[in-house]
Amino acid sequence: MTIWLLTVVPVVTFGQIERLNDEYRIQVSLDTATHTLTAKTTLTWTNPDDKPVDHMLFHMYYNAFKNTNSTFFSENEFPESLRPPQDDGCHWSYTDITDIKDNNGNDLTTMISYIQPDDTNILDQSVLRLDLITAVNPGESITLSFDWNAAIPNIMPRTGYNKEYYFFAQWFPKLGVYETAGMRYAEEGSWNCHQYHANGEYYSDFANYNVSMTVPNSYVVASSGWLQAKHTFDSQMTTWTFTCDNIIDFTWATSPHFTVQKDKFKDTDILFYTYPYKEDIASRYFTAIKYCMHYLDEKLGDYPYPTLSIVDPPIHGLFTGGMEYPTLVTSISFNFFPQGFRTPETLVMHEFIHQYFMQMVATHEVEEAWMDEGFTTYWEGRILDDFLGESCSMVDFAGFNIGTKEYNRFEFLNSEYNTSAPITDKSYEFESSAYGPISYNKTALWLQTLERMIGVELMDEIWKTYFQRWKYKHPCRQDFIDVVNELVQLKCQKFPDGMDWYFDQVIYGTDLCDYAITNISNDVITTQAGFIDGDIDCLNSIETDSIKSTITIRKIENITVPQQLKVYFKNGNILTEELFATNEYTEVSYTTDSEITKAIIDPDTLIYIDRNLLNNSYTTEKLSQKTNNTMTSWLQGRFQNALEFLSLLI
Amino acid sequence: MSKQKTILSTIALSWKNAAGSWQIWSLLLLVNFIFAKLISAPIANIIDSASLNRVIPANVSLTYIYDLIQNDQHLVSQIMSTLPIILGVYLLWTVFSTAGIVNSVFYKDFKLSTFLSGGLKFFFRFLRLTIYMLILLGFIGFILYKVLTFGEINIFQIDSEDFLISRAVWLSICFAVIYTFLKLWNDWLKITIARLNPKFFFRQSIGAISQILNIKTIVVFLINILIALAMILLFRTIGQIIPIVAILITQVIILARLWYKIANLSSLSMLNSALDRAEES
Ligand SMILES: [Zn+2]
Repeated sequence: MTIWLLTVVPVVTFGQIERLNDEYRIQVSLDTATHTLTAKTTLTWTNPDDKPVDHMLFHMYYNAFKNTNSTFFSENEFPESLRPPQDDGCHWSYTDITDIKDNNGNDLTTMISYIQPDDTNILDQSVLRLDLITAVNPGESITLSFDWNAAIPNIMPRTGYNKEYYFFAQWFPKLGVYETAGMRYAEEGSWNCHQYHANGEYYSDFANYNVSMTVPNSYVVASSGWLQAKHTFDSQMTTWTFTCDNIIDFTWATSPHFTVQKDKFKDTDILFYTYPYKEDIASRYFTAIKYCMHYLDEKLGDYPYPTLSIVDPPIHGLFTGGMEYPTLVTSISFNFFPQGFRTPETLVMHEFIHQYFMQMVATHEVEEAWMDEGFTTYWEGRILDDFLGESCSMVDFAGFNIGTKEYNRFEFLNSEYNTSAPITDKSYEFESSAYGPISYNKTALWLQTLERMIGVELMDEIWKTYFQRWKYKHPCRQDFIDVVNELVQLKCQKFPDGMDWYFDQVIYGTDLCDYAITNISNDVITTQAGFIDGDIDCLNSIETDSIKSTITIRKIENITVPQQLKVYFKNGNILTEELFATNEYTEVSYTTDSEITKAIIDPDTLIYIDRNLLNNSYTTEKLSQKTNNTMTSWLQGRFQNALEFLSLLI
Repeated sequence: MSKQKTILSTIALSWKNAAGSWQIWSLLLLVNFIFAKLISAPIANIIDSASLNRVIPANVSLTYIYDLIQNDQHLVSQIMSTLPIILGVYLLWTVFSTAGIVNSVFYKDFKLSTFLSGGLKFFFRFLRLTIYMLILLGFIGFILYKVLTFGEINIFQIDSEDFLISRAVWLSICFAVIYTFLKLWNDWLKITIARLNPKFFFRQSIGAISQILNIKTIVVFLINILIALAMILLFRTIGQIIPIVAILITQVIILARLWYKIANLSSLSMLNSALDRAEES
């Protein structure tokens, strides 16, 4: 039976139509014998545009796994380790809408077609177009009621089943985002609905969800939202009903083996789901996640949802680990990981930060992946460093330490693709290995540099303003840039014109940054020689007390940034001045009565994007000799030990 | 003479021999130092060229190492390409020096000339023995790996990783026991080569198994290892308590390991010769 929702009354404010949340009511039944879903969805959508809309676009993500002809599979970009073994049973899936009606009783089943907005692959069925018999007028709503079913994929990237573990991500026909003129890059009202690509994530609108899942009695359900009701109606099946408002997606998982542990942060229940064999790891997750929630609560604003579910899949469910979904995140852990490997902490924090950047501030994960992945990586670095210490926030094992920030820097600078594209490329346009270093690490790196240049307090204010201004909306890069410029111009005397000069280089450009001091010279100034000013005596040149010192600075890469130059004189004087070296070589000279012994460009390491921090300093006194000796003898000792160990073995 | 006393006196005499063979261990230490220098010097060069005029950060971090490497990538790749050659030559030296030690402990003559002539005399036989041992070790490693990965270990097919963890722990213990036995067997055969210069080495090798499966031999072998470990621990602790230059402590620790090597072969030589006398009587 179709459940009709109240048609939402359009609200018009200041001549503009307010965007209303989509309303999803989904009843889904899981058949664990055939690995299929049978479902009924009632969806209400309100036209936010000032013109009628005569069609709707839906994501049919499970069709990306329908066969090898899909765009997802023909792009072939996902990791080999997650590729399903194709010679071993059927791993494929599909979603099929079998019957669809609108609230006027029109049968729209024959109005369905598949389109390919991103490529010419007519065999790809990941975007469904539904032509409407009655167009939806501005501010009015349409309620669609449709029956659909799906074959659940077996071990596909991020979703599907394996053994008795089921994870449902991108599992239901999900409406694209209708962008009105002026919203993000839309010049006129239109649907934004990308095909499912091998590289890239998602984009959908805020919605209120009410989802009932009917699963075998022994199964435990972990889900987005909070459990509203649980009803066992026979000896076989139980229906779990979850609900949540104001989220952009809905995800759930189920297994008869899930154990649940609970904790709380403020008014939010934290639910941790895993398999019994690794339930001891719960305390690591709870400690880390509460720290992270507290941090973001202070810096950005509160997490408003009553629940947060963390799913740590069993080893055979690894293909679903390390992902972010509204109010539900997945992590990865192995029992053989020592404590010093911070993977569980890193992942759970990273995925939780996405609740702010991608869920509440719902940027486009495909078109501007850096605005969720890069922002999240930046925050992950900050929080983990604060939580575990800057030098060992990622790995702290057997004397081997790696911090998150330096790991980011390494990942980006060490990638051979680091200049292959600007961060503004769409996810699926990147060369496969470039997507991560550019979207995640480069963004985090230039954000860390921005934070150091303008100061952490102003940076915090920018983040808070950006979050508060854009939560429950869909901003684009200009919206972030605008917030930065607005506050920098207002509060940072150093950059009165804002930061466009920086964004042009790091967001739109592909260049790297490397400044070096290549030389310091100290020359005693001598008097002029010869017949000076009609003097009848021929004068010899004699040395004066003045010294002309010159520091040579080289801009090795193309990015130009203003920075400080700190100069140390032999007599103990220290001079700091602002430097804006735009040419390949810049010489800075001083005439004083003392030699320069040392100079450091960017002495406080504000310019963290600089790819070689070692060449930022120069000393004429070889101050580093002592350190060198210590390091050389340390190395010598290590190799002597290693060689002797080798000889003992045979 | 009680059994314990024999064990203790064997060990005591062996360590006395080790300490007394100063010509040998001085040479071994020197060669070890030089080879390590061959590897560490170019790396120190990189550090120098990158940082001679630089203010070096207080801590060695990934950032520092990365900046260092990219400063002179050519030299880094040069080091990587010469490293296997240096290691290969060092292994050959190890074979030579082991042959020299065996000759010295067998004749209880710790002069450099005996050591060097032993190195020359047994080099190729020891080299062959080493190759056989490496092949055997590789084979055992392969078997253990097969056991580790036996059955279904595709991550998508297993229920949990716990059985893999316990399997790995057990196999590590197995490997440690097998390796200890092989090491003892290998050392015993080296002495046998020096003593008998056997024509039919394979038969001798098999026969040696029953000879080393002998409480006294095993106990002596293990106690020598324990003494070496205790000495290393002691020197490490001293190094931490008394601020001595780190490089000196390293030399003392290396020395302890060289003494162990000589003492171990000396002990086995004594036990091996005793066996001979027992057979004769
Ligand atoms: Zn992420």
